[in-house]
Amino acid sequence: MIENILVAVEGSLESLMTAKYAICLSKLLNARLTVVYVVDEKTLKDLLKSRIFVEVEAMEYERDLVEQGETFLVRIKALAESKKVQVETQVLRGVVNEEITRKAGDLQACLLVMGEPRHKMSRVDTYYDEGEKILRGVPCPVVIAKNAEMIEKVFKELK
Amino acid sequence: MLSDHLQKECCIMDLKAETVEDAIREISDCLNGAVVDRKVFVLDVLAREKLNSTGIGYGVAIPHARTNSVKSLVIGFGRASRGIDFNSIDGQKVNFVFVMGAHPSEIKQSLDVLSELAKLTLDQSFRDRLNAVTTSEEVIALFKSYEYSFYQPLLIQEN
Repeated sequence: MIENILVAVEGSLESLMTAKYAICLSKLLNARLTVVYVVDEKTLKDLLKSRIFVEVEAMEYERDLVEQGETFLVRIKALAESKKVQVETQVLRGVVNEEITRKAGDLQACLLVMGEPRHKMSRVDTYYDEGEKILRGVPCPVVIAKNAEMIEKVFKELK
Repeated sequence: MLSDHLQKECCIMDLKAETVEDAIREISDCLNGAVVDRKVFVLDVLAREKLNSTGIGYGVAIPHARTNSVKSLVIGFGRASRGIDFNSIDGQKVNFVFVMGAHPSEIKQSLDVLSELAKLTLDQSFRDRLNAVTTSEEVIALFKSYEYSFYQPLLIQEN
């Protein structure tokens, strides 16, 4: 059966919906839930390398990303606990798609829940999009959480 | 997406400025209502520029700041046909200046925009066309064409 679910979030409102949907699935399937937020170190390093960033600026961004991730995960934990769902949360650092794929493997996740891809993506985005890479690389089935209104309704109705 | 943040009113096709400071000031003057305090904004961008030049080479500079002086992410563009000495990494004068401001809470958004700007401006054909366009509308159209064109070959392959 589906024993453990991994959900990847990135700090946006859409991400909160993704987490809510994962909480619903965990509750209904009685599965363990792990929520991860990845600090995108690759982009920081790339911007540093291209000289758009200076060291102190990259460090500042990294610190803010970690802080944002921790705050966001606390919020999600509270949401899960409000539905009596046990949740483990973790801030990871590195290349987003690699960290999520690795985590899914380590956990032997039965399911990955992730957010909807952006509607408008540039050719650059498509090529570099972490979501696309996760979809291709992750070693388990993937659920895309979409339709915020529907998710909100399901979450509210969850006892 | 980058073109969502770039307005035609914020594109200057022929910068009068001859120095880094004047270029940042001239472009900032065109930025729309997203900038709450233009004076502080310019000071914040200049403070960042003082840490190290954002002249990333190939005639491109991307001065930027995350600052409370903007409500939301904003980008301005200026083209300097005579070139401005930005103390760029490759020693070349700068012809294309992109000024970006973001609110401190817009961490991921500003990373995405800076990253996309860096990747796009690395493309020689993009820079050639940016040099050739004559109006602000064409600048926006150019960004959009580069952002969307990737889908065409994908659709042809699928058929």
